[in-house]
Amino acid sequence: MSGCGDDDSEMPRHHPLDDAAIEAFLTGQLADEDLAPLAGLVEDLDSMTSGPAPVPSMQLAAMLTDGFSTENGDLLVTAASNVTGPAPQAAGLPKWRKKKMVVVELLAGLSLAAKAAFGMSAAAAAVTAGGAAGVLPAPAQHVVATGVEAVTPFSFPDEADDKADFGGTVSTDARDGGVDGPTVSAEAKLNGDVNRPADTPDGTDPDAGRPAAPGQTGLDRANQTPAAGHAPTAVPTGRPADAGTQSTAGRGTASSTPAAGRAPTAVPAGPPSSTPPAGAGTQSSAGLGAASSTPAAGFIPSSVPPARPGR
Amino acid sequence: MRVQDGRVPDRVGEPFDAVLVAAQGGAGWAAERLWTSLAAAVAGYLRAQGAVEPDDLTSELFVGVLRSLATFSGSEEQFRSWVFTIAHRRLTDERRRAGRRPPPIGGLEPEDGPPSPSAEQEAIRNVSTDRVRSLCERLVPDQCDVLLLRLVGGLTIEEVATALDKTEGAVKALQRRA
Repeated sequence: MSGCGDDDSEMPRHHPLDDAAIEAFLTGQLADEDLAPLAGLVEDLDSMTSGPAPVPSMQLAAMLTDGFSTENGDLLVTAASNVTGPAPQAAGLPKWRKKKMVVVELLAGLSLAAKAAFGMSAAAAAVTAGGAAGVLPAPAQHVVATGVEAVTPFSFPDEADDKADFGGTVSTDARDGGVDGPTVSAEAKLNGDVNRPADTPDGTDPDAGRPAAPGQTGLDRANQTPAAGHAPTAVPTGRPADAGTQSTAGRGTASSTPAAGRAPTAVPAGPPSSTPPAGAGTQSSAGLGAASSTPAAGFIPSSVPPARPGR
Repeated sequence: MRVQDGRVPDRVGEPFDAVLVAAQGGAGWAAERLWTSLAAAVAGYLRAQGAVEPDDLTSELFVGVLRSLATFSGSEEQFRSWVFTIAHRRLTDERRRAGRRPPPIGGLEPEDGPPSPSAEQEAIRNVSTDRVRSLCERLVPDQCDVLLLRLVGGLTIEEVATALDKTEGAVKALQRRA
């Protein structure tokens, strides 16, 4: 009986392996008889991990065949247990609010003079932008356009410039034989409306009663044409014929021609819409007056028949 | 694995740096080299650990590896260690999911699954798998993890400690008690 009761035959003796020995075994550099069971494990693991690679899944096969993008990371490679959730995101204001606050803070930091300069700059920028868009009132548009064109290479829309060259444009068109009377008249009227000073405060026409300037009457221009010999010799006084009063002027013109004796003493008033060509309400009388001033005045009818309805 | 000569063989077959750079640029051929060099070992590790579908899990794992490849830099051994660390974490996730949702009884055979190896190879692999699983069942799970990561993955003590979130001393203690 042993003193301590130990029996070497009953209790196997294990040689404790130090870390170096285990490390040598795990790296394949040591063969220890005590590690024989582990050697069998190593052989089994070798048979399990050798051989061809498994067939990849369809998704992986597509990546291996066609390539892939590595721009974005993938949480698949991170264990769920290690995922701490989305990164903490500080609550913040919407973007528009942040931008607004930046502007406010910037302005708050400026001195009084800087603020005034900033306001004037903003106003100037707004006026300039309006001038570029052509949305300012005509006088303001002209001022802005003139100022900007003087200091910059840019050209702003300015109706005054367009109207100043209106006569030249008509003259050029006349030399090319492309003058269209109604169009020129409409444009001239439009320019006149825009250029004309604002109506008087009492609502009356500022041109009322003003005689035509010399050289601006139709008779003067008619005398400058090859048919000057056939032009009437006098122009009745008063304003150029306006709608509604042209009949009187035409009658006066007819009376001043050599055929005045055969000119009708009265112009029948017809329906405005029945007189060809369509025009001002009493334009027919004006045509009669013009016809009376020609060499064929003796053959003109004494009256203008009323137009047939429906034309 | 570094069992036979203590070195991890150069399985890529070409300078690893060139393959890695190409794979990081999305080249399919380079990714295939990486897959071929490690897929069998990773699948064997997952099989030894008792994964339900080790081949499918290996493919899923490599999809994530390739997409995150731009974040890796290092040698081939470090790449191997990186992949096995990811594999172990994915395995841990799978075990947790299985704990909440039991796997189907009897298992399922995929209709369009990969072709099985030859009968002899499959038999040898099954015998080896059974012996490894039997040995690991006699060990504490952490001990099995340390042994498999070291023997199959070729990880160092430091790398195993990182993968298992343990200290190096704890890993050495697990080795000794195994």
